[in-house]
Amino acid sequence: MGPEVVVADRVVKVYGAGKNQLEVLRGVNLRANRGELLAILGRSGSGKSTLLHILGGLDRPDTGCVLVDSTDLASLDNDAMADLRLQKIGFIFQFFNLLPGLTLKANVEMPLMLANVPGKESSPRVEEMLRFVGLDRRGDHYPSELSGGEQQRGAIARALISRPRVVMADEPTGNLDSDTGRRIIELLGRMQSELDQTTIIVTHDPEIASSADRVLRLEGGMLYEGGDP
Amino acid sequence: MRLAGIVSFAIWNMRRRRLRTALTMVGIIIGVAAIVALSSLGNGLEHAMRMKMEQGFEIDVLPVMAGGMLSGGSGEFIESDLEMIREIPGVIAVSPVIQKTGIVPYTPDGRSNSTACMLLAVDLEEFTRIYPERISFEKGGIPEGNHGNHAILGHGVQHIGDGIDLGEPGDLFNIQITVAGKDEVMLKNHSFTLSAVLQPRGATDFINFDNAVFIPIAAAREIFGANTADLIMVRIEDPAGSNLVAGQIEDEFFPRDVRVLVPTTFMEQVDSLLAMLNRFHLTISSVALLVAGVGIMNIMTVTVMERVRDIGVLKAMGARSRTVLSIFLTEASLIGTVASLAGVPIGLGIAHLMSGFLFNFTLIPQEELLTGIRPPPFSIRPMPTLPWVLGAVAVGIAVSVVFGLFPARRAALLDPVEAIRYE
Repeated sequence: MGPEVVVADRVVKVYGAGKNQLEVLRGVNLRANRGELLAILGRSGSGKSTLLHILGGLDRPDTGCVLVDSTDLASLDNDAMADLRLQKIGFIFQFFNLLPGLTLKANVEMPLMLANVPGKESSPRVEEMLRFVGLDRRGDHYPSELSGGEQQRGAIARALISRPRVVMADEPTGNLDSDTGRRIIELLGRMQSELDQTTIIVTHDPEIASSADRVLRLEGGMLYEGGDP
Repeated sequence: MRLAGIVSFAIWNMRRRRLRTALTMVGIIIGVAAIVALSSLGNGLEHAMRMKMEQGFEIDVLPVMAGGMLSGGSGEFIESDLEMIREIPGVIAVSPVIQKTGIVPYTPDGRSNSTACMLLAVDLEEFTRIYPERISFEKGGIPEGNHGNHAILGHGVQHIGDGIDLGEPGDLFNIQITVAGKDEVMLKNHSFTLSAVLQPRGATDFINFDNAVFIPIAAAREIFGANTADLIMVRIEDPAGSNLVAGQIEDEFFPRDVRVLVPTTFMEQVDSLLAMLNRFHLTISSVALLVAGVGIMNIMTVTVMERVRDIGVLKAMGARSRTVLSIFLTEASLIGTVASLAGVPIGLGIAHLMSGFLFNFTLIPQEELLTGIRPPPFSIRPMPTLPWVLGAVAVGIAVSVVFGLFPARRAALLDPVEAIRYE
């Protein structure tokens, strides 16, 4: 394992105010190393997605500090945070979230378009990535023409196309049958080892979590080592 | 994100929602088409009215009247008044005018009949210089010496109707001239030698040439026993100097109350009325575009709400708020541009259809009754102008962008976490 790529230090996140106040994260500490596949296990509503969004620079903690690739996210304004997500973070969602108006190829190319990568350079990279996830013959299809597993593989290709330092996967198998889910996790593991990326998966499924290098358990707003309570 | 990428993404989204995009465009198309059609017809109307007025008004002829227009315009001008006007710079011809009404009797098939006419006593040579286009002979010419009992007939007086002509040059004919006495109006019978017949030349502001009989001023003075004229016609060198010459004439006559009618002033007033009409058209079109703009805002707001999750995903991928704003504004601009460009030919088509069906009619049928000559139909040819067309397209695009701004800004400011969770 390499140096720490993602660091969370005493992260607190509170929703609501007064009687309705809900402290979702109560001083979370986390270290994720380079090339590590980390699983965060927790029940529905435990704050897993909130933590993932904060680690991925989509949301900000109320207190505490998050570093991604040695950059303190608190020091970034919204535009700089967007740039950091573009360059260093890839997101994978439970509901795939491919843009329905675009072909699979265009969906995968979108992060490169946002990064102003010229078409000459981006096209072979998209082809290569689609081949890598086994969708090289489905590039011209629209998301509605793909199965759930294919859509998630497409979403993985999109998350990895800009070669991010960290991949954040939010319940990536939550909307798939168990066989397809297992194949997706295998794919994520293969990518993590081949591309030397840090991957953080949040899931409520202990079986999925068991595939990770390390498992953390989120409970009562606190993070604990190990999958068992 | 590069502009090409933003445009591609906007086009992808528009293609994905073809029907909605087309419906959004309809409002802008109608607005731009309305501006193009109304401005083309407005310009055409302005042009047609200007042509009609230029036919009716000799813009380089100034009628000089005593006592102002409201007093009836009848005056007591003497020879020295004419000389005074001739000396004003810019004046090239001056003629006194005595105007009377007359009745010309004739006997078709042995039956007695008559036709009314306007008897105008003028300096025939000067008058020909004042109205060179109107004094154009069908037969004969100006009588030698510009005096004696000679008369030039207007086309309608000569060709009385039913194929009957009043006479040939050299023939004698009678006119019963209306003369106002102390308590009554009398008819004074007088014979004239027909010296010429005019070609049909229509009417100006003061004179219906087709219905007039012109006699030398010297003859009129003998007949009526007076040395005065009712009004003076003045031709000037340059219509642009009308107001200056008119002012000088009025100054020369001071303290006598003399009024000079300046046709260009009247035409300027008509121009300002037409400009007001154009502004009215523009207002109507603007309302149409405003409605279209509100339509765009509504539809794009709905579109933003439908694409909240897409926006969240874009932001998660690293799209800045400005990029999201650009994507939606580009969509609005593309919709506005395509719709505005489509509105131009549609507007031109509507203008041509409307001009063919609605604006092709005889404006003054009375003219035909008076002269027996059917005037050409009053038609409005659409006259689109580049500034109006470009302006309409620019306004169409601007409306799209301005009304697209609110939903685009709303999309740009969406919180990415809430957007991703949105269902």
